[in-house]
Amino acid sequence: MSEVISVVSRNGAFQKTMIMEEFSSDESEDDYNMTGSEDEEEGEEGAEKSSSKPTSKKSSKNIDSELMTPGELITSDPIWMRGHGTYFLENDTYSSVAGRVSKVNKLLSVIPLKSRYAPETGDHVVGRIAEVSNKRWKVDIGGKQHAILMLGSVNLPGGILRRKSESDELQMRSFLKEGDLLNAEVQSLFQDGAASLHTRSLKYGKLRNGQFCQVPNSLIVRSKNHTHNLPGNVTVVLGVNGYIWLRMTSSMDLARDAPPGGSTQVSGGEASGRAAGPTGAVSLNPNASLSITRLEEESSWKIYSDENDASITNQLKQTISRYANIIKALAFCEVGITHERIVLGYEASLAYSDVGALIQRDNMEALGADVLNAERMRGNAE
Amino acid sequence: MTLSVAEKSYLYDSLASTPSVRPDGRHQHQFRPIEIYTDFLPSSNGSSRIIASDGSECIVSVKAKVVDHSLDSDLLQVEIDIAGERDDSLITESCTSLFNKVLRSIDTKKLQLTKKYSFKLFIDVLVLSSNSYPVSLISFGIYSALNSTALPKLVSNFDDLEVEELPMFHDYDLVPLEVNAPLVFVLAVVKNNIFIDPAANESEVANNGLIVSWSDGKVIAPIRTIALNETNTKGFNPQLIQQGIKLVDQYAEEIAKALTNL
Repeated sequence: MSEVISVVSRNGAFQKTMIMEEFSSDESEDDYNMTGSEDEEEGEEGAEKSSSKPTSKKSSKNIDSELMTPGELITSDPIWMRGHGTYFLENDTYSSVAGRVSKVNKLLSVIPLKSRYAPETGDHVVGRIAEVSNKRWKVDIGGKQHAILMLGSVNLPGGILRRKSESDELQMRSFLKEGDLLNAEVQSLFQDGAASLHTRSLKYGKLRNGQFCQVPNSLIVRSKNHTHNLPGNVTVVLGVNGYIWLRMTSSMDLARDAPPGGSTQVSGGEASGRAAGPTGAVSLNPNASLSITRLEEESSWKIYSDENDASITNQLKQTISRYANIIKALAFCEVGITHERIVLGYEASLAYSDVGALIQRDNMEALGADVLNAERMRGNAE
Repeated sequence: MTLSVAEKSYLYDSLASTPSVRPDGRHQHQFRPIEIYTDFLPSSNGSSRIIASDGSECIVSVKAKVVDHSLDSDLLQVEIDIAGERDDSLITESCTSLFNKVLRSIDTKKLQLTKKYSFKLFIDVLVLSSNSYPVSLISFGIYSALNSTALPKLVSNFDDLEVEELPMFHDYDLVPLEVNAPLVFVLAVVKNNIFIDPAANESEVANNGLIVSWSDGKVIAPIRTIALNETNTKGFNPQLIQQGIKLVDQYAEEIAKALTNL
């Protein structure tokens, strides 16, 4: 394969009925069997494997956990109420999406396998400011609607938790402007399903010192912690919405992971250099370790700075690119993305000294297989 | 694509440094992988569908018509349609004019049927989605569509000036069209570095862009500069044009080979 470009010739299902079939070249025939069918049924097969009881018969008793394709008949029993992802024609209920059937009492709905992100309270998300409006920011989190970030739910610069003032309203763009990336928590949901975010913790706020990367949100597993320190001095913020931020590990990231007793020792060495957190928060007491819960720490203007740390080396940037490629490879293999898998992927990826080789299809597939294999060997496969 | 200030400066610094670091770790001359479907439109003489790894997609169809070449000397005509852009938008018009110019490098003798008649090829391009400047995607599409084109076989006489007759074709035999289709490359200039096939985030911080055309082993006209973004565009060292041409010269052959040997 060429090092400059990799070109894959494919044949899709749409070519099957072609009248030119006899005339097409011979090598494309077996290619059709290999890649074409895989292309079409990849999603289904994958999900079918994971579905607990794949059944093909359509008895109305066994419709739970069954996989549905758009237009497929779910039931002709009229007792069911039709929920999301369904439609009906003359008492028959059909699925309108590809997904799994869910039944709650008499409500029948189909939950799609892939969809836009549906926010839930408490989710740790990464978002991009889309609009600055009256006392609020509209944030793109990859959902159906933009999320809302109220001026009152961010840390205002100038110290201790204080009320928002009129001057804050006038200079909202100096905190966050269009295009800015931030991580935040979903505080609550509005009636229409839009999320209301907050960044009232020093672990949330504007993102710096790194690179953005996006995967389908269905691949991110909700867990207790969504910020992980990775080998190679890199920290990843896995937004539940599939937006991912890779950055240089800051001293606050280290302090978060250190055991509570020894934290002063850990940050002691670090703090002498720079006691700044990932969001730019500076501790009032340079000797004390930074903690994300101590909000009395000064949240200065620095938390809204656009400057990157000047100490990021090219070596580190390479590592960040490597992690970005690993995450894309995991997403390509439709493998759920977790801290453990990223670390396993990193270990497996060290076989490729050239980071750019990881964008090739074969290498991505090999990496995905390596990760799943390593997981099985360590005995913590799902 | 909007990026935050911090993202932009991170990307710019890593691309401008020596040695440079691209956000996906690619080499200066490395392309992103692509997938190609060829010859899938039953009613066209040749067709191709190209999908880039970032989800950009483009469909090309080639149709032929017999014309009197003494009346119509323009035997190749490209029409480009970009989803989400008006027909008279700047990007659509500039791409169309670029490709109509680039394709003049094709030897039209290959299309000649008889002394009087020739095939005229209508190349229709539909860009379904594009995340970065679509020119090189379109050119790969046209290249593979032309390579998959087969035209009806002539059974009547070549010399039709003395005996006046219309060209006749074989009922089902097709002859593959053999032309040296040109390729067009987009390069991004960031400070003193130049990169082939910039991704969307690289284009967003590029100081300038360069379009270099290539055909049959050498770089050909037109060579153009383009602004890849609206905020960061600056002048650049003219030596970078030489560097870009050298880069294309060095690697285009390999790309043409990869696109041909599917």
